Amino acid sequence: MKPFLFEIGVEEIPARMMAKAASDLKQAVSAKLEDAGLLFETLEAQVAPRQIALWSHGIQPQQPDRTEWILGPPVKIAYKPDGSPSPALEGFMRKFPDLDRNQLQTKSEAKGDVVAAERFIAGSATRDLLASILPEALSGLHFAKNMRWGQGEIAFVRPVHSLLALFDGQVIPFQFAGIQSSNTSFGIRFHGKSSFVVSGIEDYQTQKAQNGILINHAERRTRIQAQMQAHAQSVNGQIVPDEALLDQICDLVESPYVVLGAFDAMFLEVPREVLITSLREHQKSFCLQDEKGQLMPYFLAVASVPGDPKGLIRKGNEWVLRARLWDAKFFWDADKKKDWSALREKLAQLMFQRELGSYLVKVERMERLAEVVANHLGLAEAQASALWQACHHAKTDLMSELVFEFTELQGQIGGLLLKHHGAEPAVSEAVYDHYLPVSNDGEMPRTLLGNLVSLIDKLDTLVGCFSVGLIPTGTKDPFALRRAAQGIVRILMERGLPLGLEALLDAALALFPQAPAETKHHLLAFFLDRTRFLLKQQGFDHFQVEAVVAVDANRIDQCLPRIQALAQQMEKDHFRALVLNLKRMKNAFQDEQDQLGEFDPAGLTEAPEKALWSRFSEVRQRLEAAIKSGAYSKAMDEMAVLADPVESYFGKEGVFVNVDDAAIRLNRKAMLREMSNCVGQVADFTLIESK
Amino acid sequence: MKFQDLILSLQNFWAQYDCVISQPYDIETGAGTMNPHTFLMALGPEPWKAAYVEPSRRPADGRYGENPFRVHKHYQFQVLLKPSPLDIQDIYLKSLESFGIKPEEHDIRFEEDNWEAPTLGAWGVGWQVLLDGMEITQFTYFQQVGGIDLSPISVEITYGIERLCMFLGGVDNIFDLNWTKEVTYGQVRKMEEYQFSKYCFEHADIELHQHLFDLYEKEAFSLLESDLPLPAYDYALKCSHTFNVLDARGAVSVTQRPAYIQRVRKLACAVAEKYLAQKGAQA
Repeated sequence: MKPFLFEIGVEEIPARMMAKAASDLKQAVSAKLEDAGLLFETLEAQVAPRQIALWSHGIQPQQPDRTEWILGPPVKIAYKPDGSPSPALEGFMRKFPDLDRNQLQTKSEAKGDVVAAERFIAGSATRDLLASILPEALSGLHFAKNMRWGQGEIAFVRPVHSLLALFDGQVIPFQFAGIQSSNTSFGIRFHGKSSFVVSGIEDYQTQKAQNGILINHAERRTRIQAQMQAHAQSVNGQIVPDEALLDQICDLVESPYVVLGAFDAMFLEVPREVLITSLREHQKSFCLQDEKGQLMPYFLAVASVPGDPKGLIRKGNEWVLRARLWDAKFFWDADKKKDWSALREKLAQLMFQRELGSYLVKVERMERLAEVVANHLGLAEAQASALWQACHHAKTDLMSELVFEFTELQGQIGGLLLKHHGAEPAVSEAVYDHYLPVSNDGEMPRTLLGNLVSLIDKLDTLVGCFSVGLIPTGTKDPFALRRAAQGIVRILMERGLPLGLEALLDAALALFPQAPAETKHHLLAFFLDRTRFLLKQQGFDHFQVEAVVAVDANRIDQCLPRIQALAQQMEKDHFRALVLNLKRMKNAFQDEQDQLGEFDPAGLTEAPEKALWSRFSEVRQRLEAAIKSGAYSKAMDEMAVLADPVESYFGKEGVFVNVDDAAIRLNRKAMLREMSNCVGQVADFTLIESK
Repeated sequence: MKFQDLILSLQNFWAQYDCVISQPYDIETGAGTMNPHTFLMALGPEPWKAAYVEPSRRPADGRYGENPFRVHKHYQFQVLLKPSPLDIQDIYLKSLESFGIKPEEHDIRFEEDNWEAPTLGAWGVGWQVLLDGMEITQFTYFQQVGGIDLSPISVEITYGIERLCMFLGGVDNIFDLNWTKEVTYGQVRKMEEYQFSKYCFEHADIELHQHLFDLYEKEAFSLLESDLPLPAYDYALKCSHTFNVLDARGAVSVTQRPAYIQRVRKLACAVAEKYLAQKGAQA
């Protein structure tokens, strides 16, 4: 086994594409080595902005020799009657000139006997194989966006500058993108050598580090974190965490060096949210806070240099940040001064959607929905009024300078400005949170009102879009309606809001009189789909989800406790056995469903059915009560006592339902129906498949 | 650092590199890319190197001369090289030394930023160059111009010279930049900023501009029919600027906007196609 080392040097690869590029290259080369029949120790790939490196401490130096069968024409047509080769066989022999006639054998194949020969193939030297494997793997790399350069012949993520390729210390000779492979690599710009000779893997790693480049993402991360911690401690501060930013920065630098900068404390008047966003979005910098969570007038920026001895990098970053903070402060001050209600009137000029009118029209619809929702929930007067207020003010911040600058702060800015204008906290907090949740595992609004405003906003968007035919298809969902519906489902489920979906849709549809009749049908199907999706995403079993939503998908808030209880019960053997019998129970009366009358317990004749009915009668009330109060687990516990009598009913010594006597038969089926309907309020057990 | 010294340094540097030091175009443009020395010269196989200052008008960015960073007109220093040299990043970094930056003392990073000009049917791949966290240059390998796939590929380097100059001098207000030792940027440009903001936001005659757009567009297409893509391009530029004024004036609704952009784009693409066909015929 001999060591293999490869590095492609390119101009700065976009950070978002780096990790995938490294792992794709590793996979491609691994697959090709396997195809070539070579044994090798696991490949390792590393990537930094200007290079992707790949190595293995051992690859078999020589491909093993092998033999392979080459198949010729069927024996039937290979020879003339006189035994001499037919034109078919001659053609085959011409194709393989090194083949001797006495090597020919007969081989049975599925299609019959054919002329064949076993051929010896000498294994190639691994270095030669790599000389074709590497350029093929590079050409096959797929980047989110490729580019051309120079004469434009090659497309790659960025222009290619160098190819270091060594096998067992020797250069693997090949060309890619007009560059010839060599035994040289390079260091960081200005501080490291622009070219140095590499002898092997350890030497490569050492020299890269000596020349200022940390090729390992994890090492860069560790170094950044350590330096950030040290800086934070030096001013008694804590880092405001931002993992996504940290990950991104790790792939923007080759030689991470953290700079602690300061800004004028007067900028701390600007809301925390705005400062953090401005630092993150514009400067990819981290904020510091004190032990009380108050922002401090410091920031951390990550440079790609060995150091900052003259402090120029710190000064430069401070200067740039000052300009940004002036902007942020200017916007905040300007927004505070603006007449809030005049700002709201301006929503008339901001189009929500061409056919659905302006944002002003949208908030007016939201106000009407707020009344309906408050009514359904029986909210107290003060709460209902706060909900209406929050809807009334929900979108005004879209006309603020800050939201224009930082769209991702929509809602939050509204909340902050409302607070500034002295709105009651319930209202400003609800506005602040009402774009949440933004993802399936994202944060939820903190308060009930926040959840309700979010629900109302999303409901209006969804029903409005559906009513003008903007229904998502396939991967096309430009208005993010799936996300909106999932937000509604999450709010109903996680807050356990006793709101019927149909009632909500009816209320919203009333605001869009132009909606075609089938809109509600589309919306119900859409919500059903989203409810299923979210439940499955939470890890619930496909069939159990189906069983639960089949019973009732209108009260979405009840779907979660029902499936939780079901999933829990299905862990138990005797409940699974019960479920099997409940399926039989439901199937047993289906054929005569229409002819069944009122069940009469006096009409029962057999012991097992009497026993079952009496057991059922005992638990029935408690069962119904449990279902009604949403205590589904308790309901299923009650049900579980039916397991034995049901088993006896359908067992060997059990009851034969389909007797000839119509009166007895129909009465039996009526009993099964009655029981089935009762237990079926929790889930449609017939849909559950046992695994 | 004086504003004009920065311009002169860049001009000298790129002149040494044998660029044609051409001059700003004499029709309003929104960026150096729109100057025919970039837009048209990026098309076709002939090598081309040019560098020039381009006054770039963005009416909607006007702030009546009151904002220390935003102006309706700024100057870009534009470099176009076709084909893109393989060592262009190094050459670019050397150009920074021409006006006194010692790259080894700073953090200079190339961060992904793909450029697109929908009105020109043009897009490219590249970076914004950050100097200690400050965006100083847009660095783009053009892939398509006027809807035409390019081969060879041009690289475009656009320096934002006001902000670069402010950064170098630690100046917090654009109008305080020293143009010369005696004269400030504000003395040269502040009144212009005020009046053009006033004009674009409050006074530009909407109906007139809507009408002008139609007329310019018509003229451009009729010039194309007469096989005169260069004058046609002038009218495409006038359309583009007229649209920008209407936009700043608040006279373009959200729904009208794509239609306007599409009209300018169609014109730019037609010009590019005709221009290339004529050059092909000459060759």
